Amino acid sequence: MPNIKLQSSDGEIFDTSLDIALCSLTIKTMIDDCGIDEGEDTVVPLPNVNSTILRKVLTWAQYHKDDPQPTEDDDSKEKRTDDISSWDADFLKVDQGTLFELILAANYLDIKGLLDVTCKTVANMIKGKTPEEIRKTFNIKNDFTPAEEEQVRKENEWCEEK
Amino acid sequence: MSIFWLNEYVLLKIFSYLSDNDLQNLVLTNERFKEIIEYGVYAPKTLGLLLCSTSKDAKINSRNCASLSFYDRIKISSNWKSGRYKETISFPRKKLFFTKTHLEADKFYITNGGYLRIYDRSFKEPDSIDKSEYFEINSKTSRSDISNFSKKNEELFIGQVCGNGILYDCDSFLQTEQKLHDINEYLTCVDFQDNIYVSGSDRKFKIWKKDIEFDELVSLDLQYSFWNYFMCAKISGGKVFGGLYADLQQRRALKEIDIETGVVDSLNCNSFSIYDLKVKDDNILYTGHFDTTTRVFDRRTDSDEIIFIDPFDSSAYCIEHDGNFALLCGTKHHSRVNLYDIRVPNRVTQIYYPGKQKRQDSSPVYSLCCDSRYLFITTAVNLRVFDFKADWAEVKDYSKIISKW
Repeated sequence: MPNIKLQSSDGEIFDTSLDIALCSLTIKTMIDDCGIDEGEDTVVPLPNVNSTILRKVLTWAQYHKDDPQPTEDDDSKEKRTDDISSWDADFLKVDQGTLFELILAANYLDIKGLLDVTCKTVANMIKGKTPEEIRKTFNIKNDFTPAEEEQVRKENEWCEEK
Repeated sequence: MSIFWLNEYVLLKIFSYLSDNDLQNLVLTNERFKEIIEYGVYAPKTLGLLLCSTSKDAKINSRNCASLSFYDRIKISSNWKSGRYKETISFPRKKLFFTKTHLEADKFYITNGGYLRIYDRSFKEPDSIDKSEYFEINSKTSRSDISNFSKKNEELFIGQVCGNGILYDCDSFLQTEQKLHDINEYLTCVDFQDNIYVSGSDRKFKIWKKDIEFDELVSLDLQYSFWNYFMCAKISGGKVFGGLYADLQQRRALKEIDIETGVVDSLNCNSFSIYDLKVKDDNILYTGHFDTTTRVFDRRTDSDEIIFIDPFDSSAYCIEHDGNFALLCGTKHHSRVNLYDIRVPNRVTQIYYPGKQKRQDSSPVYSLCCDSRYLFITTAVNLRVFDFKADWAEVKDYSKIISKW
């Protein structure tokens, strides 16, 4: 398999096997559209991904390179979040900042498998938590004024008998 | 790096894995989450909802007495479908009468005997009607009962059984009365649009034109008169659509009358008796029939596009719709109301039975109106109001019984 050179936002060059790089539909489109031939010393610039994240993405792609291509109609399936493989779970044991950057990178590079698993991980961090716990988890500021908060609460709490 | 660095696309993807409860908790955390979830998750879901749609076609929204959030709409619509509501009994009456009702965002109109009363709507009441005060309109010349009325803009056109018509302007309080039909006829239906008025009795159907002289002298001039017994009539787009009480020979009870020329056309609707008719737009008519069907007639194809058959073999007495996909039909027995989804043919989406009261176990539904949240069912002796914004209420789901058949 031929290799391809990817350049991260901070200038680092990654010499990667083509089949791994092709996990990313963005890179695939670039290669297809620009007609890069084998053996050519072209560098694909990825200005939205830094080297730390790109290294992680490539590690993930290396491990998953033999996975079947996810199809589009997967979206209609039931949304489960408990089907993350243990390798992925370990791989995603990172700080929140890295996790979010991975999501953005997966989104930019258009790697569906990685985007799915990272989004599921974040969804799992939200599930079953109270608003206060969610705020703590993500270090979110409560930007409602007390009056607004009361209003929002009222709007949503009409389950009780008056 | 904060979670807010994520773009909307991936945030919505994350939210797509969350349950309704989780989403609600997120809404409570922060303004930005609230906005994304409301407009990205809830809003797109509301377009196709029954009775709670935000689509511009859903005229029902003009009847809602308070604005509903997207989340409210999703919840209320699912309550309509599952039969979860709180029932209130209002306006109990000793004497049986065929009360007619009409609903607006801030007003509720109800007739009883010879008067029509206008109530304010208020959220403080369980049935949304503030009964502490009302405004009453009645005839100055006749004590005959009101059989039908129509309300448009700020005008009321009220028909009394004896054939007396009352024109009432809610702005100027100007009231005009005129004899429209003979005393030995029974007036059944009235309607108006702009300056065209129609009235029907058990013998004649008449088209009138309103004439105003000196700003105050209002009178109706007879344009056309037909020897027909119409049960219901509505004006729309230069035409009058009417349903005959009986057309046993031809079985073409649905008629279209051109207001300019007075030409009566039979529409291709195979039915010998129509009890109620509502106009959805210039092309679509909803009709309720004696033969237990509720139909959707399309003038472009000149045929009944959808025919719903009542599962319990009762005639359709009155119908109501949300301007979009929901069609409600009040039936002849047990004050029962059926909800149909015009996207789902051959199926009753839900059936509503008002709670039992001995005296009126088999009362028909005499009048039906609703907004997104409330359903008003007029029975022979009272008004039943269903409030669907009641998540704690018991579910009375009869749709499953039907689907087993």
